Amino acid sequence: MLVTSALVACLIGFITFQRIYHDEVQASTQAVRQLAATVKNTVSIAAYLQDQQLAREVADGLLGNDIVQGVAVHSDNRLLVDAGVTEWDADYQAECLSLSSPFVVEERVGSLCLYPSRSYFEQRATQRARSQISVMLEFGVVLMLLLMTVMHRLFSQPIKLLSRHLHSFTLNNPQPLVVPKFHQGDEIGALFEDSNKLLGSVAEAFKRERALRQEMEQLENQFRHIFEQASSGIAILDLQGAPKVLNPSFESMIGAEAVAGICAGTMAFEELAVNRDELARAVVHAAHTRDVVNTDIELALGPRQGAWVHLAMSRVDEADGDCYLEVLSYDVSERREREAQFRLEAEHDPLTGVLNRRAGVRRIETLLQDIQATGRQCAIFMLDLDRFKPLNDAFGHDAGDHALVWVVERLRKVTRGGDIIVRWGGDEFLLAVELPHGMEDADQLAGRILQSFEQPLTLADGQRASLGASIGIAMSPQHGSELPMLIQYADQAMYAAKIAQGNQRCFFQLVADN
Amino acid sequence: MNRCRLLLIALLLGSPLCWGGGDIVVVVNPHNPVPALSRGEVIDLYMGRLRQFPDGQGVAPVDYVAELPIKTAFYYQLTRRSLAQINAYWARLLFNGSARPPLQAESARDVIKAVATDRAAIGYIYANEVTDSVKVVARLTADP
Repeated sequence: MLVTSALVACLIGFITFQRIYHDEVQASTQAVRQLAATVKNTVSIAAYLQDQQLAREVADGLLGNDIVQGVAVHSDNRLLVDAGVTEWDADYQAECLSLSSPFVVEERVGSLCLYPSRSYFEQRATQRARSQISVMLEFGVVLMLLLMTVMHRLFSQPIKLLSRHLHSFTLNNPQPLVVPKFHQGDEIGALFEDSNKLLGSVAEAFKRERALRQEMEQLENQFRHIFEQASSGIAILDLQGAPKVLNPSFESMIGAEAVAGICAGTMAFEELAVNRDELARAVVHAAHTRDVVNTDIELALGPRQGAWVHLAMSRVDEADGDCYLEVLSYDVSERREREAQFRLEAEHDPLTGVLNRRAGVRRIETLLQDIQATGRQCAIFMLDLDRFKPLNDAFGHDAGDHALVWVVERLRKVTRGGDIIVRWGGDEFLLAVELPHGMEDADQLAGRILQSFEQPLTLADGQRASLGASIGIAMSPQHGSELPMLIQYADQAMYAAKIAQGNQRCFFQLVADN
Repeated sequence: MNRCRLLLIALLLGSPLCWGGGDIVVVVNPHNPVPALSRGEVIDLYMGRLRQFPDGQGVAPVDYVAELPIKTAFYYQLTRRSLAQINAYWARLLFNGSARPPLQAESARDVIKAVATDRAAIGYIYANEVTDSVKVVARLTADP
């Protein structure tokens, strides 16, 4: 800007000088002409009379003017006066005037040449140009200063103010900008107001965002707290079953070793369970469906090895496409134990520990169906104790109970694990036994039972007693496949045995033959 | 008043023409060898430019004192200048000290006498006043 101004100033100065110089030349020429016109009459007379003295006087008078440098007066080609002409600059034009006779106008008597002073009007032109340019410059400088002041006041200052405000603006303590007094309603004012609006909305958004973030953090803390403090174990797995996050309860449940193992990938998740295939299936099921998959596992390792844990697994699909499995675990050992206890109590005879009648029927029916489906054979034994009532009467109920326990001990000894022993009535027992060789095996088994009863029974007070048993046997599928019928047949056979003095076994078939 | 002024203007303007029949002649001494003089030569002689006749004889112009009608007519017919202008011319030169105006005679008779006695003299008179004692060398007709 400064360079441009200087260039423009130089150009304007040059043009001004040229113009002034030209004007000055014009003015000087004009002045010289006027001077010439003024002295024309006198010079004419001098030329007419060839009066050198008169011409000299006039020339001296003319030379008294700064503007005239030289004067030459000729009379009929004779030089009358020649003053200051020698130093004349040849390339500058002299003002020459033809002189006519004062009396006969047509008669030319000589000439007057005036040589304008070039240095004079150059100097004048320079002076004028200088003063004009200096006035222009002063005016320009003043105008520029004024303009700069106004610009500064109107634009630079408020924008600087705005910039300073924006620089010191903080979101924590948003202060609205004050619109400068002079700019209310104009563009600068609008700029301030818009900035205020923008900053306000930014601050507002920031505040909202921060509140939201705090809320989120709080929520996250709460969730984390819940996650970490939950008594139930929580595990987040990917869809392949690899753990992402385990909460402390889960970790303490499975133990540090297992945590290290499954987190390092050296151990599969399903290896936590004894029934690992079931767990693996449950994981796959949960990973590929939207079902909540519930399964109980028995922990295979860790501090709580052998404990039963209920797992509720469900797939969670996040909005961003992330999927994982959420596993909630509850220790259900106690419940299972209680359930088992309940079941035991519900299905077993509290005294002897064998199945009660209802549970027994159910179990045997299952066995019968199984046998029927596979073409095997089984025998139903109805066993009634001989001489139990007299013992009971003679030694009391405790002795009777003792005797019943003793009986069951015998039966258990001679039967196998899979055989079903049911307390059918007071001193009646029902046995269901799978036998590969049918009646032959049944007969042998009955024989072994009876044989085991031959050993005397020692009561609590040291007294001895003896018990016998009558056994009725019905065979399936030889005698049928319906349990009520088979029981009835076995019962009939048992009566037959009882009638035949007891302590023996009878097959239903035999009874029927009789 | 107005009439008087008009009359005066008419007199002044018309005065040179009033002497319709009265041409002015320039006369010299009969012994002067110059046969005739042109109007320009007469002007130059009377205005001080020429100091001698063409033959080298010095010249002594004779004029009239004061503003006689013939003087006014002479200068007007010769130079188309008023007498006042002619007087101003001489005044300028006299101040300068470089010229000498003609001698001044009282009347035509004085002029004739001066010319008749002085070989270098030159004068002017009305044509009807010419005598044998002078030689006419130029005639200024009244018509412009």
